[in-house]
Amino acid sequence: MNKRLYMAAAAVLLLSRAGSLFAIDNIEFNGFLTVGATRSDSSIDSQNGNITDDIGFDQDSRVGIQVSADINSRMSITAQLLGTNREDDNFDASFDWGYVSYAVSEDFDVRGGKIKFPTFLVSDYIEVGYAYPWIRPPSEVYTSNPITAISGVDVLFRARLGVTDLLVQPYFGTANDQDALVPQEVLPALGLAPGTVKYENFDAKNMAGINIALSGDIGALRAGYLQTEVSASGFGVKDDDVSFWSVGANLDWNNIIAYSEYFQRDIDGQANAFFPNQKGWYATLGYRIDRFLPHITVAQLLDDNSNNDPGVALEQDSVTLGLRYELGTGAALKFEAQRVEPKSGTRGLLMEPTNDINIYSIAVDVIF
Amino acid sequence: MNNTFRTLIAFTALFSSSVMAELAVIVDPSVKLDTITAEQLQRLYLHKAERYPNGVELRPIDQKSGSKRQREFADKVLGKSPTELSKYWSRRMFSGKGHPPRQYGGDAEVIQEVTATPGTIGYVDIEAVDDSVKVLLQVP
Repeated sequence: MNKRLYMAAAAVLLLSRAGSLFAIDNIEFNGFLTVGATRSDSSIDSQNGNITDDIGFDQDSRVGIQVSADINSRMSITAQLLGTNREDDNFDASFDWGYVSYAVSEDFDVRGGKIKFPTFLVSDYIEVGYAYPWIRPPSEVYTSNPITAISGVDVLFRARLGVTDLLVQPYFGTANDQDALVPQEVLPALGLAPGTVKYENFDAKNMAGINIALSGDIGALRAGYLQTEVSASGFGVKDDDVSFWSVGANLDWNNIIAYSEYFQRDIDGQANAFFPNQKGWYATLGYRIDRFLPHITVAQLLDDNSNNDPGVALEQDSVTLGLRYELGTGAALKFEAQRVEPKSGTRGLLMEPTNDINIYSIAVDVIF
Repeated sequence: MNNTFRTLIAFTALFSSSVMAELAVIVDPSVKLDTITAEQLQRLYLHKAERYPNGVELRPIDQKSGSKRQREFADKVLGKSPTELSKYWSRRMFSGKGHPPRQYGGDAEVIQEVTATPGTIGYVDIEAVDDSVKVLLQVP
């Protein structure tokens, strides 16, 4: 008994002394972990079935391991393994992304493989809860693009512009076997009961996009555009055009933290019958007081019916009050209370229409 | 009385030197660079654009996170608290945009690595500097 205790203590001591999990010559392992619980006050669940009126851990809990190795002074490989419970009740771990990077020069990298691409400000580290203030980035904006990684290439071009740093990042590739949540409205046509959570496969090809970011000591500005052609045999969708553009900014100045983003999504053809044209935005304001960061977020998802699209509209507003507390270096504890109001008689991002629901969340984010 | 006073002075000196340690930024003497500015050092350590001073490729190394030297360097040169620095690197690293500098445990290990692998740049307490390295910058 005593011996086991000593061994456990020794193991903890060893781990806490190592900066990262291992550092064997050129190979490095780093990880992140979020354990989060959610509960709502309504019998109506979130549309992915993960937030209900019972305490649940599926929405936010996840673990990731990043492996990187230098092949030589110009070439390196990086891969990230991610485990979640999000899409069904079983824990599922897979390579979220992985690529080979080649440094053409100090400010010019070319990457090839499976690349996490930045549709929004925190998209390329969206799984790393420790890196941002919320428990989950505002879903009115962040769930609008289900594709988070492409098989292809991108280029990172950096330059110094006065007191700021410019990043220009064009990318091109495909994304096959992506999972799209089937809208509730489409379930009857597939012979499924309302309330079913069903994911359907789709492919995106000829995906071309660009991410431009200007960052400085007090924050960053970014803009992005992407276009692709989607096909989903389950929906009879073939090569329909999708385009996406977004702008955003964040600020970290004198203890004031702010984030705001806007996006617009246009979908053509048959795909548009299932996935409407949308636009959305959010704004977050927080004020850091020592280890505490209280913050408030207002978000809105709107149907963009400028082209009389046939897609079923999904609209909602939400207000989120949050608190982040730093548990030393590398760990944070977060609380959130969110009021979600589906609008215009739609179900928003819930299972069915309702007046409003409140969602309470708690999470611990760790990096190691 | 005299003794107490002397002890007090000695203690104060010891205390203040341990708090206000001066850091020396060091490279191997073979490195073709004689000085570096605090701003160049910040860009290099944070893996930013145009980070190589006068185009000289350098590999920055760090002291153990949480150590007194590392906190001092992060505060004086990088302008970041330990928490800010760990958030900065979590964003960069997990999005595949660079790794934090490798960490070494103490001045002797930093000097050893700097001289064993020319092109490496590190920082140590100025008291620890010997003839085997070249000082590019003193950080008071």
